[in-house]
Amino acid sequence: MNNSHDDNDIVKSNQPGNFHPSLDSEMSEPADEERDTIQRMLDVLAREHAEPRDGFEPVPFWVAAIFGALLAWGGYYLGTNSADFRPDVYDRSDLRQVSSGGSAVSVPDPDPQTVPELIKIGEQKYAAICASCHQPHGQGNLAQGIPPLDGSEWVVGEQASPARLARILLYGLTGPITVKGRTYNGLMPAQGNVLKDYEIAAVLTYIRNSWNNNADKDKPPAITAATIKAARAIHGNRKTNGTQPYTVKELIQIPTDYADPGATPPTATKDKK
Amino acid sequence: MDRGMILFIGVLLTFTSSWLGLVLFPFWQLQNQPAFQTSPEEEPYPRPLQGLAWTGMKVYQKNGCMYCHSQQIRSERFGNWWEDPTGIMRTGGDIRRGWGTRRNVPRDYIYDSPTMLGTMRTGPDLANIGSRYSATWQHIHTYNPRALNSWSIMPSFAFMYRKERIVGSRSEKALPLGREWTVRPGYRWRPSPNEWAAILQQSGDQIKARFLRESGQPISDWTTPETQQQLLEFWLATPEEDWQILPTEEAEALVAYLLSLRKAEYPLPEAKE
Amino acid sequence: MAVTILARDHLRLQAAQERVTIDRSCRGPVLAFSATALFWLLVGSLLALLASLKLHSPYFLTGSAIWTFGRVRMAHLQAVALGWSSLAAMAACLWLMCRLARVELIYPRMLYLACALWNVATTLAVAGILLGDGTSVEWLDAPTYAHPFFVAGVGLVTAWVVATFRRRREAHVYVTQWYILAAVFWFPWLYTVATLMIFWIPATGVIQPVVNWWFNHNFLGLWLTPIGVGTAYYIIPKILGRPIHSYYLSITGFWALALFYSWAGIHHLIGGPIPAWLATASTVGSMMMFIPVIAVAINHHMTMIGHFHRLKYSPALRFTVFGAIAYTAVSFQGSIESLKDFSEVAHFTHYTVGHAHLGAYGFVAMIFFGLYYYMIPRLTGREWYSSKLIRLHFWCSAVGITLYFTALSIGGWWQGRMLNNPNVPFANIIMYIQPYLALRSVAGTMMTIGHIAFAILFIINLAGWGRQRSGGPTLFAQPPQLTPSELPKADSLMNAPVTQLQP
Repeated sequence: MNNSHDDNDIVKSNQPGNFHPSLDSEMSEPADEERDTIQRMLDVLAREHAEPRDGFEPVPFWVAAIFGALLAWGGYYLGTNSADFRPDVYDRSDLRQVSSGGSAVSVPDPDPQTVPELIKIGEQKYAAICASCHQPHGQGNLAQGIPPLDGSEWVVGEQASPARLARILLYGLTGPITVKGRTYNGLMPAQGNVLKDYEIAAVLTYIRNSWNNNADKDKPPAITAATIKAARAIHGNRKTNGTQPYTVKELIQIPTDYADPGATPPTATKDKK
Repeated sequence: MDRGMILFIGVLLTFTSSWLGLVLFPFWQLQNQPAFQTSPEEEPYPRPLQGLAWTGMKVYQKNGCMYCHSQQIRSERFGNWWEDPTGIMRTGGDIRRGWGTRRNVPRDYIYDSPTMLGTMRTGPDLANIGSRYSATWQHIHTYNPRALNSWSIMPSFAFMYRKERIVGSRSEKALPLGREWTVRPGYRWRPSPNEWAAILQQSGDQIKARFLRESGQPISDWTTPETQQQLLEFWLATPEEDWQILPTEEAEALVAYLLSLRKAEYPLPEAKE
Repeated sequence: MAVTILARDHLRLQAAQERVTIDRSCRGPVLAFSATALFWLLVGSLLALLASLKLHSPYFLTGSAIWTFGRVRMAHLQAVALGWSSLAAMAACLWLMCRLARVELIYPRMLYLACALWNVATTLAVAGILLGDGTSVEWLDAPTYAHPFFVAGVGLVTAWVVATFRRRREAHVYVTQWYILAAVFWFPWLYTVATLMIFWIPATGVIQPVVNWWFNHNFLGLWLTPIGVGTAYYIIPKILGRPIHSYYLSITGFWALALFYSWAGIHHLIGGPIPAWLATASTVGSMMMFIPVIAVAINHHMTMIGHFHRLKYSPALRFTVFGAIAYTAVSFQGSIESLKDFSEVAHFTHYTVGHAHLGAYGFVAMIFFGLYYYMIPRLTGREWYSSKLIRLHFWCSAVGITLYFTALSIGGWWQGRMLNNPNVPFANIIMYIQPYLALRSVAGTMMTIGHIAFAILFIINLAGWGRQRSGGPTLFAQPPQLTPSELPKADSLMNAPVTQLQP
């Protein structure tokens, strides 16, 4: 393939003189060995095509049309998606508001009222958030001070109450706690900022009705979004970001039959594991 | 196009356009954002990293943590647009996963340098990790993530921890881990059948007595495979008698930094959805 | 030499002699750049393999700080982007500029200095990162003390390329030269501005990632891409002996790239804490990249058309054409990927990693492999030792990158879908992605084997152990004898404008 002839080297006809075919002075100086190298390179190079050059085919119309369409689209897109180049508009959902002048339609959170509905939501949240410490089957982890949930008296036994559980999840829990005869000294992170009221209710209902726990069997759920909302409301300014966690001492001051104003009273929540 | 000057001016102008547009203009827009303060008494947000947390940021930086962990919470309307063409349903995964309570805005980062927003989520987002886990959890997870999550593919950072012979009593800082994770720091360890037989020979009665004492399970037949397995698991979960794992200064700093990461909860006015 | 030669042969010999002089003048520096580039390719491949293995076998080499995933990943990027790709790109700039300007390289010794500076910088970067000085600024992970060496190294190369261009004997400036001149002008500016604004006089908060992504995207777009495309613009017509299809498309492609590529990049921060208009501007820039890519694709394809059978024979052509096709593919993909609807899924996933490798490897590295196969024998005067090894290199690289891209694209897409769905626990995503990450290691192993074959060929060639040359080049297969009708048509070439020589 490389032996085909190049007819187009004509452009080089008026070379400066040092490219005369006979070896010029510069090239005849090298020692024999090097001259061999030069000769070999010459052989190789002589079979090479000339340096590439341009053809002059016109640009097809359809290509030009595509280019024009792209440019038009680019201008349109920039115009409609840049929110007047404002520095305080971050997202295209915000863009929509800027361009329409309206505000986002807020949709009320769901408020499931049956145990299966709550468990369904709670199961997902538990797997995503809780399971990495309390373990997928609620058995906890003794070595790291993480108490079990399965069979825990604080979840389904004599220490359990909707008001207490709501507070543990909303504000977190710190310091030693005795569960099933063992003392655990860990830190339960607050979930009040992370989870919505109905989701906290769902997680609680899930852990109270999974594994060996059976708190709400054949009953309406003891904890719903209303329970959590009431617990949030009564504390007003208490921070739900984990900086103001509960301790067990504080927790046991809440009687187990206490209910926050607005929550369903825990009449039927005295339950056995 | 045979003139060098045309080429030079052309590439100069095209590149200048992007330099002005994508670098200098945003610089002008965002360079001088002050920290946010509702009243002079309240402490401003955000606050620069200080002391140990700042050192920890350097540890985070030099070990390339940000190549798997982003630090940016996106809008609650971000994601799965085809399921939510109006943006009303709020499918945004970041907030609903509990990674933060609001989207991040430029002001959250004014004291960051380098600003490690991250571009991969091989691991979860860390913008608000400080509110999710305790220091103990962070230490164990850094030492060997698989001690907490068997499925994790994060590297073990056991090189930031030192294994020491216990002098006197176990240090308060020692990681609460069973020997499964401490015999070979950074790895998971289980005795070979021969080793296990030797251990049982030597101190089998002690282990069994302790097992009976701590688990409260009455076991009479120690020869069945199940009970043997139970005994092994129990023994692996107990800490090594003479050794403890202590965090080095680097690990302490890294955990301090992680606990300081609370970028996505303070309610900034511009972060309203 | 006392032979009667026909006038035509006389001219061809004249041209050949000129090429001999040019190639001899740049042999030393260009070989230095090429050889060290290849060294960093090997280092980068091994680091890549290590990082890849660690992602699905987290206990692999877990005990030491030096080989922890984050550091290895940073070191890999520096080794391949600034070691291999940039050194190979500079070798390409120097050699192609000399050949196309038809002048010898002057003061070649200063270029050894440039090469040494750049290698010192890369060594500092890779070793510094592994020992704990990495900066976690993507693509700019090199410790700050490496910056001056990088800038000085590329500064010298820029000066030499421009000086060579100004001494040009060929009046017509070929399209490859446009790309090279633009790249050596853009890159030092880009690098200096980015390092200044991120490290030396750090900008506030999120401006850093904005500058960072502007740099990252332009590192590929305004440094590696122009040189890669320029190389393809040289190799394809050169081997085929045909003119490039259309000068007008060349012009369109070049200026559209210059204008639009530099505006892309910030779409990588989609959804992040930056003003919406920045991501929008980059989306538009990315979409406009369809224009130069279509122009270049038509130009290359129409030049190749009717000559695809020659891919059977010529290694250089086969690698280059693979790279050119990958360029079209990766650019189309990149434009689509920049659209917000798409990016919302692909963002934060391995999909983006697959895309980046199709660009940096499938396109840039493959074209540079093609260039090596063409250029090195002309510099050393020795043919490649074994066509079997070349074949091994090609298939390992081609199949490797294809597998790599496919695995990460599929895995990454579903990873993104699951990440956006808050009801999928994170553990499930990690477990889902692992088989794909394992496949990536398989692909990486193949590519590394290819690189080792390539390195063996290169060392044999450089050391002179191989076949000295007299006959034809090392080809995959001997082409059949050409019939007269297949020879290049003289008249089509004659229509090209006769260029003037500078006095």
